Amino acid sequence: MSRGISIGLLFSTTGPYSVLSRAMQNGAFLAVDEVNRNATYDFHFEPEIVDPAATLENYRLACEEMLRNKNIQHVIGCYTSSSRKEVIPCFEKHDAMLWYPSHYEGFESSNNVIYTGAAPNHHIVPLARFMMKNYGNRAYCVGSNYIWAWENNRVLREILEANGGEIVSEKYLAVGSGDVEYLIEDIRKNKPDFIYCALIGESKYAFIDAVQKLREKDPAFGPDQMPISDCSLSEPELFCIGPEASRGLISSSVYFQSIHSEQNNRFIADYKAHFGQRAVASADSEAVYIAVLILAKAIHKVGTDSAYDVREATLGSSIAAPQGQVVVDEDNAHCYLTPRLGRGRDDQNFDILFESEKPVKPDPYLVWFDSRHPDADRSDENSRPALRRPENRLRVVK
Amino acid sequence: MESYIPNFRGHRALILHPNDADSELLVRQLTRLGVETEVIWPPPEAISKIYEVIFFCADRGPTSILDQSLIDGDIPLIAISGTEAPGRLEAMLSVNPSAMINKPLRNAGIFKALVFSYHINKYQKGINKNLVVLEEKIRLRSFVFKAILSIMKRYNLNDDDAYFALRSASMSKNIRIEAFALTLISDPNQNMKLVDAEISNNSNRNLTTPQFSENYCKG
Repeated sequence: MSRGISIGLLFSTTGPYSVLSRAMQNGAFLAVDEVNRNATYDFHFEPEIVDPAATLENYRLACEEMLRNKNIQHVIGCYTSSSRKEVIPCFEKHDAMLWYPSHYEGFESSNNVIYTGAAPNHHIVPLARFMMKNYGNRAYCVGSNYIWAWENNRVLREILEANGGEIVSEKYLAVGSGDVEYLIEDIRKNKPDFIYCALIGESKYAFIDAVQKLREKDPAFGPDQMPISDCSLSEPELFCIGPEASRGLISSSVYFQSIHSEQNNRFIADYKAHFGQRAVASADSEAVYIAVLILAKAIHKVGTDSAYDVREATLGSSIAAPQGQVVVDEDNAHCYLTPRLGRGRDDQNFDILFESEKPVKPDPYLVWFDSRHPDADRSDENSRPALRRPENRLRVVK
Repeated sequence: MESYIPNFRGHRALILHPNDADSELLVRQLTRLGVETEVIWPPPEAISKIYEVIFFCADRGPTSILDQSLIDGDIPLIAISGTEAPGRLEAMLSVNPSAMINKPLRNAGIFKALVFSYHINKYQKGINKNLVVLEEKIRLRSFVFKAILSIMKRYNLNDDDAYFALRSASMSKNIRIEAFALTLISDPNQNMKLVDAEISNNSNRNLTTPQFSENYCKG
C-alpha cells in the first residue's frame, strides 16, 4: 500500500506578489499529482498548504509548526530572499530541507536548501552580455528597493564599467510604489541605450505602462531603440502589462512557455488541463515543478524521506525537465539550468532570442565570473583555468 | 579597475584546526568559493609564506595556538571560535584576528568573514604604513626646528620665511625637509651654502608675501 508523505507548500498566494506565488503553487500541484499517479512509487505526497501572505513572521511560524509539530522533512516554497533568509535557521535547527524554487541573487549555499531556480550566472550575466552586444553599454537601472535589485545592479555595473560603459542612473522605488513619473522624465533626459528593470509586481507594471506612454509620444524611445530588460519577467505578468507594452520586453530566464520540446508540450498541456485554458506557466512554476519531481525521485531511491538521506540522493541527480536536462550540482546544491533570453509578444508569450547550447553549471558566488570577459563561460569545469599555484611550494617546516 | 564583487578564486587558505565536522564544512565552503585549502593540526612551528589567509582554532590553549612571532600582520587571520570564556577571547585577540567565525560553523558567514578580514587587514596595513611615516616625522621634528632657528639667526628672518627657505633648499636638493634639516645641523658650513643660494634667489622678492605661505601649505 502506498504510504503518505507530508510535504509543506509555502507560497504567499495572497499579498503583493500573489500572481507569481499562485503560478508557483500551481507548479507544485501539478508535480504532486504526477508523483501520486506514478505507479512505480510506493508513496504519495500529502501537501500541507500554508499561505504566509508575504509576512516574514508568518513564514517563520509556519516552518516551526510544520517542522516541529508535524515532523515534516521537506518544504517547497519562498519567493523573496528575505523570506528564505527568515526560515533557513528553522531548517538548520530541525535538520529539514527547504526546496527553494526561484531565481535569486546568489551568494548563499545552505546545507539545508536545494536551490532549483536560476543563479546570477544564469540570469544577469547572460542578459548583460546580450544587451551590451546588441544595444550598447549605457544602462538605466530601476528597481524595487531590496536585495534582488541592489545585487543585480552591482553585477551589471561591474560588467558595463569593465567594458567602457556605465550605469547612467540607478533609481529605487519602495515595493508596491507606483510613483514612476519622475523616472520617465529622467529617462527622457538621459537617453540610455537600454533600461534594466528590477522592479517587482505592481511597480513593474506601472513603470512599463509609463514607458509605453512615452513611446507613443516619442518613437525614439521605442522597444528597438531603448528596450526594457528584466531578469524576473514571466508570462503570467504579461497579463498585467497588456499586449501593447509587452511587445519587445526582454526577459532573461531559464524557462519560457514557448520552448519546443516534448517535456514542455506535456507540461503546458497538463498545466492547462489542471488550471484552465487561459492559465499560463512561468519559470518559477517550472522551478517548483522540478523541485517536487526531484524530491520524489530521491525519496524513491533511498526509501525514506529523512532529510539527510534525501539530500545525499539529490546531489548529482537529474531529470528531464520542461526547460531541458536539469542536474543538481554536487558542490553547491544549486542546479545546472539552461539560460535563455526572450522577447515579449502580445499573446502572453516570449520569442526566444538566445538559448545556451547546454545546461550551465550554477555559480552562486560568481567565482568563475570575469567582468572583463563576460563571454567566457568558465562555470563549466572543463574550461576552468588552472588555479594559480606557486612554482616552488614551500614546505611547512615542523 | 577594482572589482565590486569580491573574488577569492585561486587564493590559498591555511586552516589550523583539528580534523572534524567544522573543518570539513570550512574546506567544502572554501572550495565552493574557489579557495585552495590546507588543513594542518597540530599547528606547525613555522608557517610558510604561501598563504593568502589563515584560519585558526581559537578554542585551544592555554595561550593562542599562533605564536605571535609567526604573525607579522601581513595576511588576514580568521579566528574559529566556539567558547566565550574571557581567557580564550583574550588569547584570540592577542594575535589581532581581522575576522571571527562562530562554531558550530555554517556555510553562511564564511564568505562574509573572508570579505571582512581582507578589508580590515588592508585597512590596518594602510594605517601601519602611515604610522611609520608619521613617527619618523615626529622624531625628526626637533632637527627641523633647530634648522629653522639657525636660519632665522643667520639671515635675520621671521619663522615663516626661515621655514620657506629651508623647504626651498631641500626641494632644490630633492630630499625631504627632515633629512635636509639633519644634514644642515650636522654640517652647517657645507650645507648652509644651499640656503644662501635660495635666499639670494629670492632677495628681490618680499619674503613675507602670502605666496610663500601658500607654497609651503602644499607640502
